[in-house]
Amino acid sequence: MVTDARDLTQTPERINPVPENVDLGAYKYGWHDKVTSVFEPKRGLSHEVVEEISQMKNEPDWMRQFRHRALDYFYRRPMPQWGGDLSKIDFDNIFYFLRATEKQAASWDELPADIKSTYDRLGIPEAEKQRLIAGVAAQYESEVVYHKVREDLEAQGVIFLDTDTALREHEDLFREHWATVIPANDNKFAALNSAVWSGGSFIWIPEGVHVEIPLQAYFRINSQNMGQFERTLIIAEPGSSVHYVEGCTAPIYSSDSLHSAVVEIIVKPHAKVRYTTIQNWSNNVYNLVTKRAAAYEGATMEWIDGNIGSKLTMKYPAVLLLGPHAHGEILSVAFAGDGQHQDAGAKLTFAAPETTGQIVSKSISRDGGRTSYRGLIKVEEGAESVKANVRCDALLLDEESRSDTYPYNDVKEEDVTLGHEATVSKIGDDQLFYLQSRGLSEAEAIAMIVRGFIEPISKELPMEYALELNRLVSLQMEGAVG
Amino acid sequence: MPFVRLASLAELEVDRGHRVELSDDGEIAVALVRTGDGVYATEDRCSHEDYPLSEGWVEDHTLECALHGSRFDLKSGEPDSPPAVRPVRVFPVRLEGEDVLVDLPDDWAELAATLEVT
Amino acid sequence: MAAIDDIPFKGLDQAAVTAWSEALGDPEWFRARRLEALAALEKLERPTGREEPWRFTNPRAAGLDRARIIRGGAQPGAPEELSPGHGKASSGGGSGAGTELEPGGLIAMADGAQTGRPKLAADLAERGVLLTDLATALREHADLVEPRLLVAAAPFDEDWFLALHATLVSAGAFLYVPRGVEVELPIGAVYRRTRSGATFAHTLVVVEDDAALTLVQEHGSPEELDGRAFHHGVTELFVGERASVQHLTLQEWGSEQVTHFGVQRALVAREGRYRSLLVTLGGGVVRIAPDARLSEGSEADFLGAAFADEGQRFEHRATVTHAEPFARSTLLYKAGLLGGSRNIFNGNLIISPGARGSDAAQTMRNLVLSRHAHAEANPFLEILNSDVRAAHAAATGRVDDLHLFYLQSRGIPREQARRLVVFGFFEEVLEQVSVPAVRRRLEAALEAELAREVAA
Repeated sequence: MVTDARDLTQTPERINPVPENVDLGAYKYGWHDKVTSVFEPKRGLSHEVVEEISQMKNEPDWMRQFRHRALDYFYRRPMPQWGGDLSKIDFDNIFYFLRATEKQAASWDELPADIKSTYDRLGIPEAEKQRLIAGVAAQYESEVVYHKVREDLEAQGVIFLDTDTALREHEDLFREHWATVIPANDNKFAALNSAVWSGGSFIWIPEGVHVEIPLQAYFRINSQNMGQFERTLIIAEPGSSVHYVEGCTAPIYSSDSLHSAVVEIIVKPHAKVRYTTIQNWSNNVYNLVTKRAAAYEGATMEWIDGNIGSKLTMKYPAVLLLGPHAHGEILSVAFAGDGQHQDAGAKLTFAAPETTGQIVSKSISRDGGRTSYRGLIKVEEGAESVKANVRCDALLLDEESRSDTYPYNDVKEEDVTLGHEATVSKIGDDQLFYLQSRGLSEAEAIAMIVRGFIEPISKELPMEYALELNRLVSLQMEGAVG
Repeated sequence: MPFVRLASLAELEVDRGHRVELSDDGEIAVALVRTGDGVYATEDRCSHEDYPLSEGWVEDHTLECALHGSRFDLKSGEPDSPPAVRPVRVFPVRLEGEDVLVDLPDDWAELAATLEVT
Repeated sequence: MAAIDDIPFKGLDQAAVTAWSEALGDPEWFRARRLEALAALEKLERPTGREEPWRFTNPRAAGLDRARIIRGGAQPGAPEELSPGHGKASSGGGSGAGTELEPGGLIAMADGAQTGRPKLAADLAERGVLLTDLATALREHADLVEPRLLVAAAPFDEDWFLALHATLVSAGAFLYVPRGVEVELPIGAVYRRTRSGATFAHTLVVVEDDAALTLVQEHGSPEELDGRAFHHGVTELFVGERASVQHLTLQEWGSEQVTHFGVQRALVAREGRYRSLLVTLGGGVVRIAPDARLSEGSEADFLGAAFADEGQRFEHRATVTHAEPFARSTLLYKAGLLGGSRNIFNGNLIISPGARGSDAAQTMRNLVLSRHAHAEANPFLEILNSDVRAAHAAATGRVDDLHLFYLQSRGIPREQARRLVVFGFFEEVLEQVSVPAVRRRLEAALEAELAREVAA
């Protein structure tokens, strides 16, 4: 093991000579075909691989060192002893860095039948399907909309780029905020991401600017395949606001089995950020995500988190309340079917007085699926007059399924009002009977009840998402999918 | 407050924490940190949630708690970032040849005396 | 037989354990079990504090590395009655009229050895009730003890501390209530510490079908000890079909040099009823893990009241498993915390697959009475059957200003108003304490704690 990352970075030219005839224009997209013969994709993780990644991207020295140090942290940290079953992840057998051209791009025929079927039943048009296969999700089909949005953003002075490009073009701004909310050694998977990150969104909203339209990766200049190790950084200057939407309800097939993304958000005083995610990765994916926002005085941060896919998701969107009157909210919905484990939740850390927070978690398990709510409410010393409330409800649709609730409430102040309630239930026979007597089939009746169950969260989604989510619920309840 | 020998210089890696336990339940322990310009000693217990600081990263004369990332100044013991808000105790260190001597409070020194520190 | 009164923890091996066993007069079958436990101990991982079950309490607070396992040598003057004459409650004024317990039976031990002889009311003995010390039980009641002790409810190979316990246990009680016998007066067991060292005590309780029992376990010590005292207590309870057991455990250690790890395991048979009450007031580091496993149609009610003062660290870690259908359980834990103290409530409610018709609720509340207290409440649920009514709630807060204001506006001085609110907080638990003397004792202890706070 390398004892000092600095050793490796002393003479980079010696290790990986930068090709002479590189067209810098092409670097906007992160890769260049001419370099194919020099770098070869390899499985497994090492300082060598990390060095290659940094070289390929032509990163500044500080980022290269950051990656190497993160790898050391990754090696040092033990695997978590809680959460889902991570024992089958074979770290040595993963490609940590593949260029777009090398990725196994799925063709329509290669897609698993259940996903194809879902696309059809959701009524997704052909063009959309193609984009979904490429991993580029979007709610808007038309090119016209795309251009209009880009014009508006420019006029407002908003920066919205992929993370690699942002590092190149806005290095100072980038460096000022990078890894300040989630340091490289925060946890094992954040360390992994910090070492091998690639892609993701970088958004900067100037002071006082309100971005009306929800932003998505689609509107970035460089929207590639959804990366395994995406790194997103959002900075909202004082008084600004933005809503970012990630993912989509339609299932996305990923040949990559390990997804370890990091999302950092900085909400400066009196700004507001809402980050909506709907994740529906195919059932071979381990989805381990670290998402955290720092909210300052009078700021508001809202996480809307939907977990539908993946074999195992471990994700606990967090808000650090660092200034008085900051507010954090996490609304989370999770579905787990056969072979799935959604270990999701929320974390609120109150580190300033007069702060407030709310967590609402709704989970549904069927066919032997398992949902676990794992949450933390932490009130630090000095955080007086905190008010927080947690409500987690679970619905079990049959005898085989499982629901767990692991709430942690850790309080170091006396002047705090903290409440927590949880319920677990199944669909009542009389409810079903009533709806069926009104002409609904059993599947339709269950779907209706489930939609009502998740309504506090689906009503916060942009309309297209909400519609698609509702349709997906119907499909799931029919058992027609998967 | 007497100076007590807690380690030899050879045992201390540069820029890495070294833990010396004084009580059998691990509650009383000292973190020794050797940097480019000397050796520092703090209590090996984060003021936030008692995690051993000796496990953390050393950089620029700060010792970072591996649990939540608060960094403590090795000279003053003050944290520079939350969640820790209270400082940790620091102790003067004196080097005599290969011996690392730390100025400990009396009750800690008593405990140290019962250790077999070679 | 060599008189071995203590052995060091360090270097524990077969020879040392065998000698210890011989000194205790174990029958062959139990010596064999001790050695099996020692073998298991070597294979199990010793907790370091990083493991999930130990994240709240430092397992090294047991101070085992430099400890001696002791049996006996108690300081003179140890009372053997069930009384508040020892322990925190009394030093603060918890003794007095109405707090004395009149038991139907009593057994006492101190510093890992029996003191005196067990006493049992004549009529109970006639009806076949047994109350013996551990050594007697091992020898004379092997038929009842052997299939159960440390293999059924708290198996010794399950974790490191249980294996250590099985290897070293030196004192304890065996309580047996035959079928259909209802024991009206409570049976008491007293565990005292008067000097430093580590002790392991075991209590085995078997209540046959249709029987009834109230057990009161009391833990106490003087205020000053000559060093750290580690007490590891395991209580295994077998509650028969349609039987009813009330189990009160009082941690009233007078000294904060006591580290107490307690394990309680109840196996409740069909339609049995088990009620557990934990009261934690004393000790420096106290970690109690009550656990009930419910069969069809059975019931468990867990109650807890704790009051933590400066420097005390308490952990109450309860587990209720609905293993079969139609069981019902409730949990109500409340704690008051003064400055510099820490209390953690951890509740694990597990509904097994197949446990349809389960009805369960958990409530935990921490009342933080001053700054620099650290309260945690973690009510966990693991539900593997959909036909369940399970709810839980946790809350942490301080004395509601509104309540205080209301009382003060009625002319009640602030301190008294605060006292009333605190008593109101604990009332929900107190009113369910079935033994009046214990209830009065608790009230007195609360008074004492509050008085101490005012004086401070």
